Parts: sequence; structure tokens; C-alpha cells
Amino acid sequence: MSFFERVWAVVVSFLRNLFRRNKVERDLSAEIDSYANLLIEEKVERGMAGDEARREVLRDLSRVEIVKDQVRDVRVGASIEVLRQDARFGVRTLIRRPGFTAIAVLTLAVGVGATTAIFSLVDSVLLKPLPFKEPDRLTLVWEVRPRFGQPRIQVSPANYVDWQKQAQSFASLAAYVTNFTNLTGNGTPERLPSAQVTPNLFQTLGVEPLVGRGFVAPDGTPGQPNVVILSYGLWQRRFGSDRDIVGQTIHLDGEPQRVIGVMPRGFQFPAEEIQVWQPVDYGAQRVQSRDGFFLVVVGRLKPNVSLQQANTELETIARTLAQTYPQNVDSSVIAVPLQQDLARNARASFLLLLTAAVLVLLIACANVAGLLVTRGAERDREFAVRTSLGGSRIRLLRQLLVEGLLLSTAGAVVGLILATQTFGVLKALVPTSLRGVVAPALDLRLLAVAFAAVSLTGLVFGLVPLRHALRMDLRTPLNTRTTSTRSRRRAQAALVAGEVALAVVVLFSTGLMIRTILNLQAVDPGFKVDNVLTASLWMSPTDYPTSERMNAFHREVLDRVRHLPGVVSAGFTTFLPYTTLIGAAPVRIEGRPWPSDGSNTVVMRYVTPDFLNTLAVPLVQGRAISDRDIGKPAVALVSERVAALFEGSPVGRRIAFGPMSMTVVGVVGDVKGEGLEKPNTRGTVYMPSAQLEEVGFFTPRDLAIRTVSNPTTLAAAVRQEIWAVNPNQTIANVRTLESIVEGQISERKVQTGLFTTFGGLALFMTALGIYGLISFVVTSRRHELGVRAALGAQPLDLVSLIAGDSVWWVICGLISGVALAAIVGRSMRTIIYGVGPLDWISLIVSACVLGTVAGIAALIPVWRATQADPMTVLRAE
Amino acid sequence: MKRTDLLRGTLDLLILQTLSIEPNHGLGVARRVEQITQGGFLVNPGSLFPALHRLEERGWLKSEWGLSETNRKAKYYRLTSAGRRQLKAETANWNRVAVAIGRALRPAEGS
Repeated sequence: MSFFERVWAVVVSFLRNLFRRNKVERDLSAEIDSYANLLIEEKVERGMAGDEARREVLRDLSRVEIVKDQVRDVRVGASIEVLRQDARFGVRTLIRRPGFTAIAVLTLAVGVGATTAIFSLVDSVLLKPLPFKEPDRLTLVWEVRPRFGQPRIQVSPANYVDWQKQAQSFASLAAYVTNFTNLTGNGTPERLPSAQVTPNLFQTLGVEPLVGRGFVAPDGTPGQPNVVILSYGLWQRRFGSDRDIVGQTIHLDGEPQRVIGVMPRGFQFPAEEIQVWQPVDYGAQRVQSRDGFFLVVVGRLKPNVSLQQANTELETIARTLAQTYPQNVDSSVIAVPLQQDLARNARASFLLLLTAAVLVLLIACANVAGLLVTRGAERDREFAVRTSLGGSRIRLLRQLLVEGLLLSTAGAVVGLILATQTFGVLKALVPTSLRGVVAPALDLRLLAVAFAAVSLTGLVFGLVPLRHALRMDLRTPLNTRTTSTRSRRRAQAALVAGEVALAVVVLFSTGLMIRTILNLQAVDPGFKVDNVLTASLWMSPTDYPTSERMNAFHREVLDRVRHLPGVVSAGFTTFLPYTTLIGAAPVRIEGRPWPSDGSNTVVMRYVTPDFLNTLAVPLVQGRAISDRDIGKPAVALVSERVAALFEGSPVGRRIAFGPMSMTVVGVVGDVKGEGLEKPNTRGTVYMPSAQLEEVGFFTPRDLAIRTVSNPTTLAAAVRQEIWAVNPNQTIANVRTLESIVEGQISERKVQTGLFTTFGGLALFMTALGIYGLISFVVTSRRHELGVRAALGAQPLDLVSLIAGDSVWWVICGLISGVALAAIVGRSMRTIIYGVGPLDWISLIVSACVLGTVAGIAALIPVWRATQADPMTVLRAE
Repeated sequence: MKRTDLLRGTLDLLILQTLSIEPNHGLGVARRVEQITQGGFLVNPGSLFPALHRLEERGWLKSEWGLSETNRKAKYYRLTSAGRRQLKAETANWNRVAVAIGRALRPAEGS
């Protein structure tokens, strides 16, 4: 018989047994009937009386059902049939106890839901490949300049050009800088986030335009026609997905630009909001800066070149450049995998969240396992009866496993549904650099994780009651009322101790996160946050080609806004705090040597006179800048950090940025502008916008308005006033200063929210576990307690009798939890602020909260036990 | 090989052998086996029917409803060609084992 024939025979039988079960069964009955009839006939033939023959045969065949069973057992797929019975029986058992089932399924759902939800986040941000060609070959390349006090900084154009010429490890090196541009013509004017990119960027990423062509070499060189590529979203929204857009001209910042292509849907680089790409060729520009660091460089490694080889080569190039150019002293280069770089801040916090979620899942498992252990006590009789009636133990064990799997599968289904509900919230945790590119979603990998969680939990549940089922002595449960409750109590107490330990860890992490948020909220940013409305304006250079025109615009807008009811003051600045970090330069200080450590790198901001007032940045010394400075010699305000660079008072001394020099007229407070949780490394120099000679990068464009009350009510009026000055003016990001500062901790807040949720769940489940344990102790010793009470035991004696070793188990759990928390705390170091990883306040508070809740959960059944009338209890037996 | 397996294998072989002569129903097979083993093998329904069904599922037997000599409805089994090949192989196998065991036991008899 060939292998194929044999398989075929098996498959046919299997399918027949599975799907034509009724026919197969009828056939079997008929066959046995006919066998009986033939047997009777045979006996009659041998001379037996018909009736007697019938009786004898029927007696012999009394075990006909057993014969049938034996036949069923040899059928192909017999085990599936048994499994079906087990499952059906399991479902019935679970339905018979709806309360128990609901609690178990919900508990599991919460655990599985939490785990899969966080895993979806981890998966989408850290694990899934980016939507580029061979994304693992892509790197970001940064300058490393220790004196800037930051691990890595953006790249100066001249260095980029040199790397590009010299580096052999990269198939291509592209660069970009993000910006804004005003789109005018057909429809309302709109400020579009844009990116100036080197022509090879799209090739480097390996993405082709959907329509038209990408940038090619001469694009972006001065003198070449202006060309632009649109995002899919912009193309749809503003140009009705018209393929003929290619070749047409649109107006960006008042300049005609020819559309040459549209990027495919979902292409978002370097950020979600970018809507147009314009070419810029740094290699073709003559004026090149080694002092301005603003390019982000993306490289594609050549096949067979490792990241390490590339870094070694870059290092060599950087050393040569450092010898050639004095600006490059102490500069080096580092290439980092793109995805890792984009997700670098997320990694630590994601892994912690995942840990917390898994802990919640474990607590949930322990809880349900505890429930099953106590429930096992009730089922001992059932199992004993089944065993004594001939049920095999294997079958019983399989029954337990099947029930465990049923429970956890139900839990997983509900959990997955819960998880999908959280995706909206979780999206807020995707790093901004990846937002739009990735999002948590329900996919096969997530299902696989949920499945793994289910199998794990199912096994745990199967195995815990198994231990008891295996050791079960048949006679005990049948003969007596008590069962092996002692070992059950111990098993359950150990589970509760584990829950307590894990819950301490989760609560402690929650405590650290809450303290971090509180600390961050207490950080003084150096200005007053409340009651300020802000907006970003992007003034087209074609509308305002000269600084006179620009100043006039500023003045007119501020005049109008200031006269709105409820406005205290208003001002413009180059960039509001926390909106961007760029715009810094080294400053020369009169009479002081040029420091080699970069301590003279300061943030440059041009402001209108009232701006610092509006933010309530305090004037410490000297005078503020005012309208009287217009047309006068250049002046500047320095912040205290800059003032410290002087010997003595800076007022009246001179400072210079390159060829530009000015007199310091006052000192103002420092603004913590690099991030609430980052130490301030740079001071700021403020200069009057009226003295800004050219329209350009430093032109003030961010508007701040201090109001007497809720600033958002003014938003519409402010827009009207600006449009009254220039109806084509684009206005973006109208929001409160508070929301900008809040943005600094919004991610933390979501994280803390998640931790708090996990902490609450852990606490609740542990309380349930303890409640279950004590209730079990009380029920299983009800008789004994009744006797003791009847003999005169005081309630307190009963309490100590009941709580007894449970208290010790809980204390053991607390202690091991504290030890675990110390370990987890250390891994949280990178995401906490202003609080130590061994923060004893969080530790004590979490232990106390847990202890209290545990006490309350334990007291309820104890109290009930002491209230019970001993006589009723005894009579009930 | 466990003892039960050995016995089961033996019964399978006997059933195949019986059915190689002519198709038969369950009781007929049982009686034939008893006959050819001269009563050495009493076949009860508890082992007969599982064996018949197992052999059928393996594709060695085929069954169909028919009428007995006494005009009773009965399920008749017959050997398939695969079953015939199996019988041949099993017989060869059995002979080998029998010879081997016979050899193994001879010295014990002699001593």
C-alpha cells in the first residue's frame, strides 16, 4: 500500500467520522444488532429455545455500549471526538457557574488586553520594519560635539558635503531640513510644513513618486527652475487628485514653482505633517557654513558594508576634517540605524510599560489559578465519582486543561477587543518622528502574542489544580466532607504572595511615574505659563522683502491685537520656547578669551519690545529694549547664564556674533528652553527685531499674547486682526502657551496614566485574590470555627485562627515585592525625573496602600465569619 | 512490542486470512477464526468489532450491507487489494518471527 493511499484512507475515514458522525453511529448500531440476531439464530439452530437464546445473547451483549465505545476508540480522530466532548462539558461546567466564569474571564481579559495593547505599541514602533526599501540599511548620521553638551547634533552643510564626497561606505547620503512655506492661489492661503531635501533623498529611502518624477541632480542648484513635489494628502485635498497637476505651477511663498511629482499615499518623511518637498543642493552652493548645524543626514549603507565599518570610515574622515578646519576641532561623527534612532526615546519606557503589563497578566493568572484551586476543592467529589465509575485520570486531567484553555481563550478574545479600544490612546506614545508612519494595530503578530499569552495562562490554570487532582485519594472526598484543603490553602496562599509581590512592583513603578510628573509640573520654566495665547505666522518673503516692511507688519498686528478687550500685552519672537531648539551660535564677549569648551554657544532670538513682558520673563538688571532702539546702535539683552560669562556686570559691555556686534543693555532671567527635564546648557541673547537687518531665519514669526482670562476665547478675534493687516497671511498653531509646556510632559502623562491603570488593576486583582483566599479558609474551616465559637472562643481568637499564616504569606509577598521593586526601579532611571530609582516614599506608599487594601479585603470574610451564629453553622452540617 | 499489541496484531492477521478466502460478516469471521485455530482463539465482540473497524479505516477491508444465508441483513467485509498485500507482508513477517522464536526456544527444550 503506497504512502499516498494510506494517507488517503486515513483522511477519508477522519472526515467521515467527523462530519458524518450520525451515519457512522447508526451503521455501528445496525451492525451490532445484526450480529446479535445472527447469534440468536445460531443458538436456535443448535436447539436452544428462541426466548432463551435471545436472553443469553442479550446478556452477553449487555456491554454493547462498551463494545461501541471500543470501536469508537479505534476510529481515526477519536481524540478529537473526545476533545469535543471535553470542550462541551467544559463549557457547560463554566456556564453553570456564571459568577466564577465572569470574574475569571474578565480578570484574564484585563491581563491579556493590557499585554497585547502595549505589545502592539512596542511592535509597531520598535519591531516592525519602516515602510522604506531595505530599511535596515538606512542610518542617520550625526555630528558629535562634546562641547555642546548633547550626545549628538545636526550636521553643518559643509561637513555633509565633505562626507558625501569622501565616504565610500554609503550608497548615498542625503540631507534635509524642515521649514514652512505659504501656499497661495486657488483657495485660502495655507502655511504648509515643508522639507528642503537633497535631490537624492527619495532614492536613498528607496521610494518612488506616485505620479511624475522625483528630484534629479541639477534640481535645487541655484539658477535652476523651482520645482516641488507634493504629498499625497495635499494633492488630494487641494488639487483634487488631478494627475495633470504635474507640470503645473503653484505659488509657494509667492514664488511660482513647478510641480514635478506626487509622493505615494502613506509616505511621510521626515514627519507626518510635511506636505511639500523642495530640492536643495548643498554641494552646488558656494557659501558653506561649518558653524551652523541644522541638517539631518540620512545614509543608505552599501550592501555588505556593516554599520561598524561605516562608522570607522566616518571617524577617519572626521579626523581629517578636524585637522583641516579649526571649526571642526573635537568633532566626530556617528551613524545610527534609522529606526533605532527614531525610536530611541521610546525604547526604555515601552519596555517598562510592557513589563508592567506582563506583571498585570501574571497577577491575573495567579488570581484565576487561585480561583481554580479553591474551585477544585468543590470539584473533588465530582472527580472522585468520575474516577470510581471508571473515568481515566488522564481524561480528568485533560478535562482540567481544556477548561483552563476555554477560560483563557475567552479571556483572550475579550482582552483583544479591549486592546483594540486602546489604540487611540496609545497612538499618543508613538514618537513624533514616527507618528503617521506607524500606528498600533491589530495584526497577525498581535494575535500570535495573544495566543501565546492564552496558551501560557491556560497551561498555568490547567497545571495548578492538576497537582491536587493527581494526588487525590479517592476515598477521602467520597467518605468525608473535608478534602485536602490544607495543601490547597497553602497553594492559594503562595499564589496570593506572588500576586502581592508583583503588585508592589507595579505600584512602585506607578509611584515613580506620578512623582516624576509632579516634579516636572513643579519645574519653573523661567516664564509665566498661564493666560498666554500663541500663534505661528509665516510671512512670505515676497510679501515682506525688507525689514522695514516686516517691522511695519509686526507693529500693525501688535497694535491691533493690543487693543482687543482682555489683552494685557503682545509680542513677536523668532521661536517660542520648546517649539524648536535651533538658532544658536557662539558669542564673543568683549574682554574675555574665546572659550574652547563651547560654553559661549547661546540661543539667539529677535523679539519685539513687549515680548519678554508678555511671557513675564523677569528683568534682573539694566533696562528692557523698547521702540526707542529703532534706528539706534545695536543693543541686546542677555540672560543670566550669558551674564555669568562676563567679568562683573555685563550692562554696557559689548558682545558679537561674527561681524555683528551690539551693546548689552540689560540682564533677564533664563528660560528653561531645551526641555523641562533637561538641564539648561545655553543662555539666550535677545535682540530687538527692529534692528534685524535682513528678513530671514531669525525674523520673529511666533506671536504671544497675554490676556486677563482664558486666552482661547480670543483666538478668532486675533485671527481677524491679523487678516485685517494682510488677508493672505497664514496663521498656524493657535494654542495656549500652557499647551506648549504641557506638550513637554504629555507623553509622560499618558505613560503615567497607563502605569496608574496597571497599578489599579494589580491592586484590585490582588485584593480579589486575598479576599478569595480568606473566604476559602473561612468556608473550609467553618465547622471548626463554629465549634470553637460555641465553646466560647472570642472573635479575636477566630480572626487570628483564620488569618494565621495568610498574614505571613502576604508579608513574604510584600518583602519580595520590595526587593523586586528595587531592581525594576533601577531600569526606570532613564524615564524618571527628580526622584531616585529607590525612592523610599513611593516604596512605602505602595507597600502601605497594598497592605491596607489587603487588610480590608481580608477583613470582609473574617468579619462575616465572626458574625455567624455558631449554632446555625453547626446545624447546617 | 507490548503483549496487547502482539495479540491485536495476531487477531488482525487472522481476520485478514479469514477474509482472504471469502467475504464474511462479523459473526462469520469470529466463527471462522475459531474454526481455523481449532478453538485456540475465542473471538469476543469487544475485540472483533474494533479490529474490523480499524482494518477498514486503514483501507485493508471494505464493508457493505448484504444478506446472510438465512436472509438476514448483515454487514459483509471483504479484503481489498491493499489488504491482500498487507496479508502477504504480515504473513511473511509472522513466519520470520515464528521461526526466530522457535529457534530461540529450542535450546531451552533440549536442556
